[in-house]
Amino acid sequence: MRRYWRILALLPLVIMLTGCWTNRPVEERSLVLAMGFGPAPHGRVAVTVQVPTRTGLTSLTGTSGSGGSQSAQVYSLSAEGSTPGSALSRIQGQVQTDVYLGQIQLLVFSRNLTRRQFLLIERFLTRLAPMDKTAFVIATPSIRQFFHTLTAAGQIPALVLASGFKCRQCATVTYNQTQWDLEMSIPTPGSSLWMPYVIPIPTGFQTDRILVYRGLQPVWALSPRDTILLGYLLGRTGKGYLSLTVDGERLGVRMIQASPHVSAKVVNGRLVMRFNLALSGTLDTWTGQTLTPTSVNHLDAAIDRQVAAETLRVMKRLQADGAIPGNNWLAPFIWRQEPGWRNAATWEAQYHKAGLIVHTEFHFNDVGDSM
Amino acid sequence: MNQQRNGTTSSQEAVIANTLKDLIESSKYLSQHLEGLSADLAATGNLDLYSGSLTAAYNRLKSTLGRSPDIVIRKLTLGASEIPAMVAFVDGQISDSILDRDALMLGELATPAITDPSTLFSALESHFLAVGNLKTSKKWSEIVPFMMLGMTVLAIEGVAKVMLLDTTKFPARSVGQDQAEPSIKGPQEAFTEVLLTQMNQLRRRLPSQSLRFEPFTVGTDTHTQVLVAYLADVANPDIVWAVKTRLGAIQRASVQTSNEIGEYLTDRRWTIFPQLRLTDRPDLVARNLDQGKVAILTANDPTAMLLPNTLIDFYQTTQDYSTPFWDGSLMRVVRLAGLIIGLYLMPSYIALTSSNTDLLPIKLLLTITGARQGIPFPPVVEVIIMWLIIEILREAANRLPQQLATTIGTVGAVVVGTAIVKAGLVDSLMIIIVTLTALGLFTVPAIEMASTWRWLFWIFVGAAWLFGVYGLVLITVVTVVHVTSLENFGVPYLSPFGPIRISDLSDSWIRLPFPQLQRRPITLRTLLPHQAEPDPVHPVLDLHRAQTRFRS
Repeated sequence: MRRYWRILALLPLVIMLTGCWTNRPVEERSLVLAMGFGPAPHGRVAVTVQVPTRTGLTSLTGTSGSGGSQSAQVYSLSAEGSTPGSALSRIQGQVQTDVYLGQIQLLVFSRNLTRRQFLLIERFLTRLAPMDKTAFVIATPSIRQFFHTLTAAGQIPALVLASGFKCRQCATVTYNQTQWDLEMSIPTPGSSLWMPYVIPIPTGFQTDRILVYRGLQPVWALSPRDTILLGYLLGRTGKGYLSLTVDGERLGVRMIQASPHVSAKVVNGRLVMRFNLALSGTLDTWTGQTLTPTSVNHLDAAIDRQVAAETLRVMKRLQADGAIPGNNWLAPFIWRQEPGWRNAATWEAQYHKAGLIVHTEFHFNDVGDSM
Repeated sequence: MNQQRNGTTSSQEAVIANTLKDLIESSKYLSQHLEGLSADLAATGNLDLYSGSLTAAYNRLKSTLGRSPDIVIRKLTLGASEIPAMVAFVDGQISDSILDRDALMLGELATPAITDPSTLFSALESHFLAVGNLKTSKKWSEIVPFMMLGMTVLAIEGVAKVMLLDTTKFPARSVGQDQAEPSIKGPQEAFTEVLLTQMNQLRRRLPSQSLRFEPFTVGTDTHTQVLVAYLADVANPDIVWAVKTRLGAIQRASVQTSNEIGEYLTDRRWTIFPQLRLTDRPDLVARNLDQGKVAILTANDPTAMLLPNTLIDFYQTTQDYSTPFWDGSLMRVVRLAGLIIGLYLMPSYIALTSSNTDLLPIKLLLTITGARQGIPFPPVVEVIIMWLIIEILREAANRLPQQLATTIGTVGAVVVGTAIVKAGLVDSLMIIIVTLTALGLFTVPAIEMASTWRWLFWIFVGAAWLFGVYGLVLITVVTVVHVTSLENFGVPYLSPFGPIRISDLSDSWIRLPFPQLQRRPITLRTLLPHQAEPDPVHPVLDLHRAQTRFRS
């Protein structure tokens, strides 16, 4: 009898632990694929969500939708509020179905968000239960423009971008950042916040740049070339490309693989960081004379010099802007170096006045038939 | 008016006349019965004992059984001295040829003339050859049931016991192919309803001197013959004792099928997991007897029961042993995959499309959402609709002749499936899921286990709808705990997985080659644990020069 009482006592627990109260068929939900945050007047926050239309959904299954292929794949809903939560509840008021946040693929942050707004949004996202932390984060100049841009192939934009970020071998440099990375970066000394900087263009989205933050304030949107160079240094190269001028002739190298190694040393109380970068690639373009083993060595050395100089320029600019080149980038040095520098904050302070040395070593994997 | 009145009067008279006729007839039988009883009572002082009076015997049999047209009670004289005797049997349950041959033999007893009935009785007892079995009895409580089971009663005037001649021959079908558990390779025959044939089929496969058939009679009305079969030098005596004890304790008026007995024998009566393996295949029974199990054969039912069983026993078929071990193992793994798909695919679909939408990959979720656009029912109602259709089709196919069953299957799969999607009642993904689920659940070789999974399937569907993935995990845990707690004649139901029995794993979800299967199931605690000697090392044959060079 006591056994049955125990089972009976467990029953409410069993029922109350479940999510059956929010049980709703998927077709009765508005699946939010992308959520954007932008500034609004009076310190408020504007929230925009992107939801696939019925046409967008049926186009995936091959069954024809009511509007045919000409109809929009997605629609956007926007609202402003003093907090992201209040804006979201206003969005919920605009539709009859449940605005479902459990499948967000992309979180879009406006470059123009203030520090306070950014923090407000991040705190909101940290507590947003149905959403997991695997959504990719990006920055963009204009939220409105971003959510009104369509891809050239007529696909759902959030899915196209998220697929691109997931594929390590698809992009030149894999700079994907997830909400989890963002949450980890914000409170951690020795880390800087940075995100892919996605710019809407008439044919879709340009995704070859990153935006670096100092604290929660954006400081520098790197050019595509600087982004690639930084990618080499952080070991995030997928299939890099470099275009250089050597002796007045054009040189193109593709399929660049980079193997970086960073070492730190304290010399006379000052931190000196040395970046050793081993690069290899395939000769793609060379407008000069026919290559010989000697001239290839000459090209190797020329590439070494140019890449080293340019990479050093990028690193110094980041240093000057008060940014650190990656998430938790300084963490590996903390326990290896000076006994007095046992915390990330000290390392961050030292890094900003550190001496930087970049050494590159390039060699060609393949020069084709040009030799 | 008068004519009508006259008609009514004549019909009433006919009814009264019939009633009177019945009454007279009944009185006649009652008087006959009382005469028989009083004669036996007067001679023996016991109503159950036969007095030796043919008249009394005739009266008792005629008054109790004689009203049925298939009961034959015939008076005759035996030998030159013409000693009165009586033969009684149930027409249709005995072999005419045996009786006729024995009747001829009775005629040969004329010389030299025997005048003493007791001597004649003894002479007959030692002369009957054609009958399979002969016994004598003086108790009416034995005589009548044996006669009903096909024995011929021979009574001689003045001898206070009767001879029961086993002239039984039932109308029976010939040994046919097994339909319930078909096999592509290996033996094909099935048991018949006749117990003797069942025994013969087993004897042919297990001509071991230790094969025992212990008879029991179950059912106070039906007197159903039941045999407990086992190998005396292999089966655990405790298991055999437990089976016999439980079988002997059954008190029931009628037993028509083996399952009626089986439900008395199980340890846990209310569990949905079957504890008895029901099979029509003599080869399967023979194999299991050799492994140390006990079989129960029931008269008039071709289905034998095997016990004790573990969960894995319901997934093993004869075909697994008739094909190379890679094939056998693959089939078992496919059955396991079928079980997992059948049990979890549809509940997972419900859970992931209703409660735990965030667990699906986005592209799959969008595909499912796209397919579900415009469907008027939630997934759980779709499942109920589709599964009801499947069950109805299944039942219809079972009830119809084979040729029509195929048509029903085609109609169900093609016409209903296509039509229901076109009508927009069910989405196209659901058709795929239902088909896979049905196929998965139909891979179970034992039909008694199939219904278990079908019950569990519904529990899973309910849990998935109410509690999502959490519900699936919860019911899985409850099921595993329940199965772990089950025991069957002292054998853990989940063995060899819980408790783990390493050597038994070699014939579980995979089957190792026969030379590797050297031990009988440890979980059965058999008297002879080894069933094979270690595999001998074969001498290497070098038939070609290259082989010699290569090996050196």
